Amino acid sequence: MTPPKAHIPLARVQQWMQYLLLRQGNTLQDHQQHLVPDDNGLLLTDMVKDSKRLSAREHLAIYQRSYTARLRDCMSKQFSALEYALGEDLFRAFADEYLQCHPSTSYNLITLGEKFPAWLEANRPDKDEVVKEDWPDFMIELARFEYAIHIIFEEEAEEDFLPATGDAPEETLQLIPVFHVFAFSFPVRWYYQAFTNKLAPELPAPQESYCAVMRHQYKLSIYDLNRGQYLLLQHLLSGHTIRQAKAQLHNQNTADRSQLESVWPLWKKKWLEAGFFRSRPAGTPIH
Amino acid sequence: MSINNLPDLGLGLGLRSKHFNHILAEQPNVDWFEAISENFMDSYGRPRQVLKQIAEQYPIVMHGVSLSIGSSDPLNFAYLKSLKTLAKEIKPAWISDHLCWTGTLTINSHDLLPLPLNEESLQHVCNRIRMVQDYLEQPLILENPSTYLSFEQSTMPEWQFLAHMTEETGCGLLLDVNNVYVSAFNNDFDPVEYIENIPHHRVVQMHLAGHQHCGDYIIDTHDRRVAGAVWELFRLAWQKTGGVATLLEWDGDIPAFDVYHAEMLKAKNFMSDNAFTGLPAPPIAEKETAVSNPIHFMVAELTMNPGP
Repeated sequence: MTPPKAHIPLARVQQWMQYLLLRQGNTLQDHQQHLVPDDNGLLLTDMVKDSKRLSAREHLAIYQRSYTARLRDCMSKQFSALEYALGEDLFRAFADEYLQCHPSTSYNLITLGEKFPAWLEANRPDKDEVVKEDWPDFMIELARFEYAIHIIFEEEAEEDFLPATGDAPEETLQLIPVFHVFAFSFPVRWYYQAFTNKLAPELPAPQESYCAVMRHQYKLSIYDLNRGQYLLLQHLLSGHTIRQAKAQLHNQNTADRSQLESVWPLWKKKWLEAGFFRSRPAGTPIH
Repeated sequence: MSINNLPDLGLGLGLRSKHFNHILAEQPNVDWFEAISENFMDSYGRPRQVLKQIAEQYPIVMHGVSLSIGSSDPLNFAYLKSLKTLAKEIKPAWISDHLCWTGTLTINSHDLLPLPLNEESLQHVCNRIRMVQDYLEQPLILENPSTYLSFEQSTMPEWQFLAHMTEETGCGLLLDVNNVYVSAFNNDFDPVEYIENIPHHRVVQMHLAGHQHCGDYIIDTHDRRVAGAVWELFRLAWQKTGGVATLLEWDGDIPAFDVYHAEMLKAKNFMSDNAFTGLPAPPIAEKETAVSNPIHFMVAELTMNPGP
């Protein structure tokens, strides 16, 4: 008759199992005899039962396989354009390594990829080279954009408002609550759109690009911008009125006042039609 | 605060983003929906708005995967606060989660990990259930997870653990019939004995789901129709419990709404008084890799516009 196994406190059982789930890639070899890090001499067979069909190790391996596959699948859904751009194998390698470095600490899976763009930047293949390649820069920008899209989709904000109409006084116009602008050194918006439209885009060459992402009535929309529009909208996002934003642009020597005034009516018309603005009630502070 | 007053909601379906538009437009004749709590708790975009709209039309149950009632970490009160806030908004018929732990030392594995079933873990879990119930101001309903290993430190069968747990805390049970079948096969216990011995009067809800038979083990995949043996176990569980709210889970390869609903309605064929005559043989095994406890990850939807 097999003697009963010694009791091991719950916390130690859980730390042991979690260690083997999270560190499986580079420590499974060390743990084939199943030493627990802080329990010298403790074997896997002291913790997990063999069954009629599987050994203790095979039982544990089911959890190990599923842990990696499940979270890799979430990363793949959150960074689907990046996965396409990198190719499945390279994305998988990056995602697996990232998950080893940054295991989830939140119940909210949306934040799983929060550190992925920064991790890609820190671990770019040419990080030790003097002359850098272009493509890692594109991948990092694309990762940042994809993560931002998911965050904007879930962002807490007022939704119960009417967009401003053409007759709203200009001094009352303010950007709607969920409004973000992006500047890229690659055509990231174009690539993302081509991917989501299943157009199988090729990796693009460097090219400055700008866009706005907004949400109204819980629907996300994306708009291309030029550099001047991007800068003006940045000033509006920082709380300036339209008059102040235009003055800022002029003061920074990024726009000629007369040129800006000549294009502004067209920008304003199109932005009003697109729902960029709502009217701030009279007397309401900007911020 | 008692499970005795909880209603029999009938036959329900899991609320999946793929079906949002269909449900809102068609208002299908479904008894109730089960929402994965974590998919909506910290969401302030369309998913939560859709949930609010559906909750105005149908009974809702909030089903969680991250309470981690068995973890040796302290309870996460930020999580509980968010859960309670959503519950105030949605007014679910009840809130459920799993008898499991999802991580320790602040890590979240996003898996439903098994507990050693012994006196220490029983008292640990009971203490935490009481704290959660006090905080949420309602009874907690806990589900038996699908498990793929048994601990040497376990000293009692799962059905006995559940009986003590419900007796000591007054919590309810979500009996996942598929999980019983999966765990029984993987861990060499008799699923019929399990169903016969759980505290039937504590069962508030049942789950059904599809699984993948891999020969030497079974994975709870939630990606296909319910296996014949699980339907037969459901027949037994229905007879023993007298019938409770029942839901079909489908999280991978999610079919069209009508296909999903039709699979759920098959449950009616197993609610009769026909005697339970045993479990049929399992199907031919598949060797493809399968992932346990699949996650329904919400993906942002984006409308592209030309540059203004």
